[in-house]
Parts: sequence; structure tokens; C-alpha cells
Amino acid sequence: MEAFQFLLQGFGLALSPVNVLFGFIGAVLGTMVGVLPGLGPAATISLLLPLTYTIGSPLTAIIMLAGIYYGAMYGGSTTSILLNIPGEAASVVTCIDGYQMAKNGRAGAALGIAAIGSFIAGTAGVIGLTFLAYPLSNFALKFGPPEYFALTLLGLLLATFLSSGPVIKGLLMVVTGLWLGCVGIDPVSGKFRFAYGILQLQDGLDFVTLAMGLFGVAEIFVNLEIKLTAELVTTRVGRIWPTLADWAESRWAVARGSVIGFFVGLLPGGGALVGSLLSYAVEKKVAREPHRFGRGAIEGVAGPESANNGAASASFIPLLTLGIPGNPSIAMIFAALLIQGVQPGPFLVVEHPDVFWGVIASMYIGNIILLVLNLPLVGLWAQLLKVPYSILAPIVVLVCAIGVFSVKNDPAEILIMLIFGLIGYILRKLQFDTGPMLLAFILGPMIERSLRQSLILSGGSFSIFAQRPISAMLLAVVAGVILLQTVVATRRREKKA
Amino acid sequence: MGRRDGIVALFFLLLGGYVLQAGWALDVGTLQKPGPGFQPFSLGLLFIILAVGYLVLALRDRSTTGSPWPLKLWTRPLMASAGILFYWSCLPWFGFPATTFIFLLYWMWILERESWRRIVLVSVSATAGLYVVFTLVLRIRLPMGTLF
Repeated sequence: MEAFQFLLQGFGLALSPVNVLFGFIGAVLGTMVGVLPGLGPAATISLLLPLTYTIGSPLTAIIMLAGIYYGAMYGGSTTSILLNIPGEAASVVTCIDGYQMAKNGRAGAALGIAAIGSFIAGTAGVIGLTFLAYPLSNFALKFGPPEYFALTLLGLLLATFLSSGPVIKGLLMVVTGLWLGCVGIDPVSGKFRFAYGILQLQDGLDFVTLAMGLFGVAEIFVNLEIKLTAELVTTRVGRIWPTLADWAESRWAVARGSVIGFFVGLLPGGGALVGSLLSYAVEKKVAREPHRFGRGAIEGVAGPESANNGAASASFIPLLTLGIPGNPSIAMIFAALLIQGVQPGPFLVVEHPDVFWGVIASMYIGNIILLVLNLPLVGLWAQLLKVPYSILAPIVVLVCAIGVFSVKNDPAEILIMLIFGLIGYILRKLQFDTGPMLLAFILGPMIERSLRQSLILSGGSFSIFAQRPISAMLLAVVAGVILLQTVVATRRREKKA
Repeated sequence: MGRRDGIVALFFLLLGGYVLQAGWALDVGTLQKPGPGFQPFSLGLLFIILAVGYLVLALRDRSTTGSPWPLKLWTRPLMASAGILFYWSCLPWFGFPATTFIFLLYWMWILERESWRRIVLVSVSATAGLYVVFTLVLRIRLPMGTLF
């Protein structure tokens, strides 16, 4: 009941003309980004981070960025279905059956059920967020330095284990991110670390520059290797409203995808991609005729598309309540909140209730905006696919460059962005996932601070982590996750042998 | 995993050694009062442990993997990097409009081999559009260089 009252207050803020406008801008940008291959929500949010300085209001800025994030989940299905190219990572599964449906002349039904499933799952996820966020924030008020250390450690480990590739590579990326977080001034002693007398490094590496390099510029470099071409199935999609038969086939897939996406989205590292992969696997498993999958099964579109939007909504829960971003896109929103002087975490609901409830309320409105944008305007989005990548790529690079320049009004940031762009490109070619590195960079200072404070509190004894029940429980989960991962990896190696 | 991973593992081993040494030099402190070098020293140790594990896994895998990117695939990203380097070095001197226009000309002509009509049209309109968006809409102060 209390949550409902706060939510109504949030609606009062979210429905102001400025916030509705910026929510709409975010939704449109997010859909465009989702539609256009080669530019993901993480890179787009990083492009717009410097611009949040000019917006002024933290609530308005976050409403726009959040709109981009879940808007991209809606838009990503368009290229997957029409082009067989995922518009963004979480839509990769939709390619399998969505493109087949389009080839069978059912592009409209695929796009329609993707949009409706996304709306249902996204709204269900926001309802979950509404009722879970407040009690979880209250619970997190009991957290001290040992609990925060254990929680961030668990978050980083989960993000590593759920990322692509061998775990040892993910762990190396995490340690690299933690090390990059050390560059600059030590907050306690004031000593410079890894700065080498360079002014730009003495200030510490800027998150925006790192993100734009690793995600924006590196992505461009990867895409430059090949000329991006694809055969557009059709730009005339016909009837987009699913028939009763389509709905009968896909309604349970939407329901299951919503639940799967929500719970996976709660986990750091879980996110939309894992949610959609898991949903597809479940739909194939429970289907009466699994042989239809891969040939245009509507459940193969409905489930994953619902899951990725459910996960997108749920991933705001650890951010807003615990201050732990679970994936790179949410990490960008975390950075945006810090830029605005708002610290995400359990005190957010107390110190900035307008931001907390305003963002949640805006997500209800955003889901409606996105359904309206994606159903009737899907033909228009399909036209966007005709913009050549040769024009898009240099403009994206310029936006990145000016974006990082504007952070400190220093051209040196462009050079740092290029260096990290090359590093990101090399790491991708060596099959390292840079997502855990970025998460670790963001969480590194928090981990260091909470570990040092814990050791000071305990007089240098690590037993403090075991003596406090919440941190002991979290570390037990860490141990369990490591054990499970070891068992899985050993069994996989035995199967190979 | 294979020989390439072995080389990468060695790189991380060396990096770990450097970070460990740097952390020590910064003053690790004590467990009761950790110093500025505590975190780097710990991370250096972690780097070394993980790198050794990665090296062992790479040595166990006898498969030989080819280069992750043959020279022809390097070319366009390197050319793009050269363009960005030009942008970084010339932005304070030539200013935003001229540097952006030249950058777009370079990218669309050298990298993308577009037609002249498209090159000029996109370069002019994109430069103007970005100028309007950044300076007039978002009110970001951009360098105008010595030519303007």
C-alpha cells in the first residue's frame, strides 16, 4: 500500500511535460539504436552521458537514459526479424525464428508479437520493481562495509561467470578493471597511483572515456573489418496485429519469458541476453512440437523478446536499491546518477525519493510509449535500415570524440578514448568480454573502500566477514558459485575428453 | 585455447609483476591500516595467479590457432585510428568545423570509397548538423581554432 502511494507521487513527477518529452526522446533514440545494427544501448548511453550535464535534473536525465536502455530491447527485434542481424545483443535469439517467420510472409505477426510480448514483460517487470524495490532498500540499510564488500564481490563473480567465454578470461578482465580503477589519487592517503606525472591520469580515468572507447569505438573497429551488408527481407510488413491463433500459440511463452527475464535480470551479469537465451531453451523444451523451432515458431520470438524486456526492467532493482549495476548499460546509468550527484543504493529512496519513484513511474509510461512507437511505426523503422553504415560510422565516432572532449574540455580525452578503443578491439579479437572490465572499473573504488574500512573496523582480521550474518551468507553464496562453476567446467572437460 | 593464449597469458603475467611491484613501492601498509599500495599489490598477485592458470590451460591445449586477424582486416581499423589521431591533434588548432569536415572527407573518401557527390553532401550536412546539435542545442563550448 505504501509503495502504491509513493508510486502515485512518482507519476506526478514523471508526467510533467519535460519528463514525458525526455522519456519520449529516450524511447525513440533507444528504438533507433536497437533497430540499427552496430550501435548498442551501452554505447549510446555512454555517448549521451556528457549531455546529462546540460539537462540539469537527475530525474529527467535518468528517465531519458532508461528509455534508451529498454527502448533498445524493443527495437532490436526489428533487424533480427527483417534482416537476420541482431540490432543489439539480446535480440540475437530472435533471429532464429523471427527471420524464418519473415521469409514465410509473417514478418508482421513476428514484429507484432515481439512488441506486445515486450510490453507485457516490461510492465510486469516494472510492477515487480515497484513492490520489491522499497523493502529491498530497507533491508540494504543494514549493510555496512563488510556486506558491501561481499555483495560487490558476488556481483563481479556472477557477471564473470555469466559472460561469454572461459571464466579465467572473465576474471582477468575483472582484475584489469579493478586495476584501472586504481589510477589516480588514493582517496585515503592522497598519493598518486599509476599516474606517471600525467595530468589527465592524476585525475583518474574517466568512466565516459573508457566506456566510449571500449564499447563505442571498439565496436566501430570490429564492424569496419567487413562491409556490413545484408538482404532486407521486406520493408512492407503488412498486418502487425497478431491473430487470435498467434496469440493462443504464444501467450504462455510471453508469460514464461516475463518471469524468466525478471529473475535473470535481478542477477548481476544476468541481463537481457542471458534471459532471452534461457527463455528460448525453455520454450523449445516445453513445446509439443520442438521440431518447429528454427523454422518460424512464434514462441521462439515471443518468449525471448519478453524475457529481454523483463530482464531490462528487473536490472534496475539492484542498481536503485543496492547501488550495484549488473551489466554495462546499467553501469552507464549508474555513472549518470553519480554525475548528477545522486548516489544509487539503499539511501536513494530516502535522500532522493523523487528520482527513485519518478524513474519507476516513468518506466510504466515508457513501456506504453514504446508499444505505440513499435506497432504502427514499424514500417518507418524498417526504412532506417537503408541508412548506409558508411555514413553512420564516422558520425558515431565524431559524437564519441566530442562527447569525451566535453567531459573535461580537454582534447587529450579523445586520445585516451582511441587508446581504449584499440584495447577493446584487440580484446574482442582475442575473445575477451570487456563487459566485466567495465563493471569492475565502476565497482573497484567501492570494493577497495569497503575492504579497507572492514579491515580497519576489525583491527586487521578477516573474520569480520564471517562474524556478520549477511556478509557471511553472501560469501557462502560466493563459495557456492565458485564450486558450481568448477564442477560444471570439470564435467565439460571430461565430456570433451 | 592454444599458442596465442600462451602469449596473452605471458603478457598478463608480466603486467601482474609490474602491478605487484608498483603496489609494494606505494606502501602496502598493514592489515590493521591498509595503505595506498594494498589494492594494487593484491591485484598484482591475482593477475599472476590467473595468468599462471591461463598459461597452464594454454599449454595443455596443443591446437595451433591462426592469427586472429590477417593484415587485410587490420587495415581499415588502423586507417580509422589515423583519422581519430588527426582529429585529436588538429581540433585545438583548426577548430571544430574544419577538423570535422576534413575528418568526414577522409573517412568517406579513403575508408569507404564513396562517390564524390555523397562525400561532399554528407561531410557538409553532418558537420553543420553536429555543430547545431552540440553548440546550439546542447550548448557545449567547442574550439573554433585559429582559422575562425
